[in-house]
Amino acid sequence: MCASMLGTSIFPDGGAPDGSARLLSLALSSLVTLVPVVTLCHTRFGGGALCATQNAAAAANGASPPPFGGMARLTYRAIMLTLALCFILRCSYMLSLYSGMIELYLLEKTPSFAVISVLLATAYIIAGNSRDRILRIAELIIMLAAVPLALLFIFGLYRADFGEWRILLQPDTDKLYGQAGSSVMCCSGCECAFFFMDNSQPRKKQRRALLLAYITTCVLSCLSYLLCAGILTVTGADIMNYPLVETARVINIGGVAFTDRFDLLLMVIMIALLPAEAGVFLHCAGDSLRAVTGSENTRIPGWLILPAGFTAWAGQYAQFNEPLRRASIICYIFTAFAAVPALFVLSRIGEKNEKEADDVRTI
Amino acid sequence: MKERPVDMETGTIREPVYDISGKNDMPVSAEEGGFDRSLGYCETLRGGSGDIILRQFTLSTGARCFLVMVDGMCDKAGAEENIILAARRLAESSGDNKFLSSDGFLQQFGVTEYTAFSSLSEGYIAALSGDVLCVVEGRSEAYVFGYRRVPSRSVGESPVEGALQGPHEAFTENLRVNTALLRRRVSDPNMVIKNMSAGLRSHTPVAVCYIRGLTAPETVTQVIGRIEKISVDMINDSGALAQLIEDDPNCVFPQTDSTERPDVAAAELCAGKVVVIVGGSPSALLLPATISGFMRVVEDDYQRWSFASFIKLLRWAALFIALSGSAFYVALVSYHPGLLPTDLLIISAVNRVSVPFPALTEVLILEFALELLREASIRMPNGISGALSIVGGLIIGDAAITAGLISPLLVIIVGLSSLASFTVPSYPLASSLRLLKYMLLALSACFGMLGLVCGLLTVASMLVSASSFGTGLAAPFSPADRSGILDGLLELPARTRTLRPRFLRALDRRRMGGVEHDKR
Repeated sequence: MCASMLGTSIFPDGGAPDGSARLLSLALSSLVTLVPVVTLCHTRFGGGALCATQNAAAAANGASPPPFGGMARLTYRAIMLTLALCFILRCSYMLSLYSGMIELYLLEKTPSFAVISVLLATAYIIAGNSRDRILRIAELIIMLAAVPLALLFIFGLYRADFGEWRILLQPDTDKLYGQAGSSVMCCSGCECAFFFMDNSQPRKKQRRALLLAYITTCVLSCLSYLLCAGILTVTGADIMNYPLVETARVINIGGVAFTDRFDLLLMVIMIALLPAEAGVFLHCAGDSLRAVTGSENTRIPGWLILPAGFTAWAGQYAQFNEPLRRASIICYIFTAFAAVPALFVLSRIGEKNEKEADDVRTI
Repeated sequence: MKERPVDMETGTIREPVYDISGKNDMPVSAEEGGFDRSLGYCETLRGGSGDIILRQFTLSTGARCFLVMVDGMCDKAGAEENIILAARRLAESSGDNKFLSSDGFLQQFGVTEYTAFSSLSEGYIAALSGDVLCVVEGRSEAYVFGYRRVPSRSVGESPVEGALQGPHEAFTENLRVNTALLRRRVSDPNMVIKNMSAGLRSHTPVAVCYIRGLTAPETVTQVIGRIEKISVDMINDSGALAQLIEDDPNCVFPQTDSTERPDVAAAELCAGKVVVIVGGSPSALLLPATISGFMRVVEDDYQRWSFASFIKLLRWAALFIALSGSAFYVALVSYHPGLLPTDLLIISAVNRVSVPFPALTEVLILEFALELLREASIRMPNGISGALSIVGGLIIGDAAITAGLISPLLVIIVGLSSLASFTVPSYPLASSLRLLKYMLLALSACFGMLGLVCGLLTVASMLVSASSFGTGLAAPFSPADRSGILDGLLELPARTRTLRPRFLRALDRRRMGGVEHDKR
């Protein structure tokens, strides 16, 4: 399930790491990002569940003050607020990036705002109701996209110049550090772990799914880059904004004569992936905002308006791309190395507290 | 029963009205005067109805008796001969009027069905469906005898679910005939046919059929519970019932499947579904419904698996063409002509050069004409509808092309799209696709391929979040069931289909077991 969701990051074109160090940084970053995600998967409480547990414990203790005290709850809310910001920024960045691609290849005269609005509206429909819907949509997309993608890779590898790949074995260490951040973004997906936090699936199954998701994402990212480098040359792939689309334009199948290029097929898949991925971000942002207010209302649509509004506004300005990218990386680092451990600790305390409350009830 | 007062303005006396809520029910009484009250009650209920026969007679013992029957719905001659004459004869020989409770009653009078009611209104309602109500003085129960002879057509071929292979008989409007057709195919003692009724005024008989120990109990409970909750006055057809029991009335997709063929109903029953038969309707409901079920026809089971798989794949392709064929054309022609191969692009441009309308208007004109033609051919008598299709399809189409109103390429696209929608086996699903097609057309006209893909995603999200009696409508594709996906897309060899679909949550998943393959 999660594999399909994370699969939405399989085409990290434009703004994604360029250069020969990409493969190495991808591999490294995937390892780095695994740690926080697995930790997050072990964290028991998501959304407003922590607050709810505190309240339940307080009620069990005869309306005594919450066991964490006001400070802990404040910390928790601050973390969730930052997480929401992180998701909004990532959503804005991604949509602004890909709306550029859509404008370049498909809709030259349509304003960015309109493109982003359509993508957001679809994401809103997908994410609005429940997380189940997002998971199922991701599942369907991956199912439908599997055959065209396999065809793309098979025909692409057939045309690729394997000699170009030798250059990739000599990474430029100066570029490596600069690209590591972007690679982390490509292979990230902390937000996906949120989907498992309220899930009734056994923990072991969740971990397996997450692992599979990471492996799939990493392998597909590497393969797509190898394909681009093999067909467009390493330098060509580095200087292009959307190397995979350009690669698909180059590949042709002779004899069919209906559509002899792959770019249309690839575009359709990429457009389908966009709202699904934006839906994940929006849902997580909405869920985090709900947790900040401590609302028990589990219906998300209302909580999505703020993130969607910001995304629609910020995504239309190309000059915001770079600041958004940097902010996203910073937020991601915060998520991975500050928010997740903090949530982990808080949830452990919550568990302990809940146990104590149970004991009190028993007595 | 509530007696309404005299209308002082007009001076007329309003007729007594039977309270359908059942608050003024009349119990059958054995006390003195009870018989007269019952007779008066039935006479008031009958009002001025000329078809309801109320026949009173006296037994030789002196006990009075009356029958209520509907002329034309029951075997009047048989009822008179068997009940009146035989009752008199038996009463004379036995010397009392307690013969009705004797065990030998059914055998002696050839009565096939015999039900005792303590409520007179219930017995009266049963008589209105074709049975004969018998009330005897001094008895605390009214008796309803099964002399039903409701006019119905004979078992014939289904006009909407034709098949080249397999049985040709179809359900009729008679509930009992339909249950018999089903029972004949499934002689499993575990098969249960639960009789119910729906409609406060129509009291339409409904039969809920399932197999004990196989069908998921939660599905059965849900179906029965929802039918019990119906409080509408009239149920005329299974389609009307389906709308009242479906999960989400706002969902654009149908959430119940239906069939007119008993072999399909029997196959689905054995797969673990619930079959609901409604009196007066030749269509049986199959619950829960799934998208793979909508795309399945029973002929798939009767053909070689390889050919059946090919046809099934063709149907899935038809579904996508019916949904997005026209929208795809509009997106390509209006926004992305560069994505077409050069030769095709030239043909398209040459064809469209004389057309004065944009692609969307052109498509809408043709689609509108086709919708009119489709609607007209359904309403017209069979003899005219063929000629109408020729006039509409060939003459008007050709004239429109010659006049330069539409391009020939578009006629091919729209024609193909319509043909594809006819290939979708389920009419309700095809109707939903027809509606969604216009949404996709509008989106692709505004945003090209982006709009089309986003529209398709929206349709997909509607599909995956819809459910039918606890089962996802998109099953087995979402939630993904590996074996179910293959079975949904293709027709696997019969010997490999050993298990029932997981999404039906059947209690007994094994469909085939212990079959020894001949290794000669």
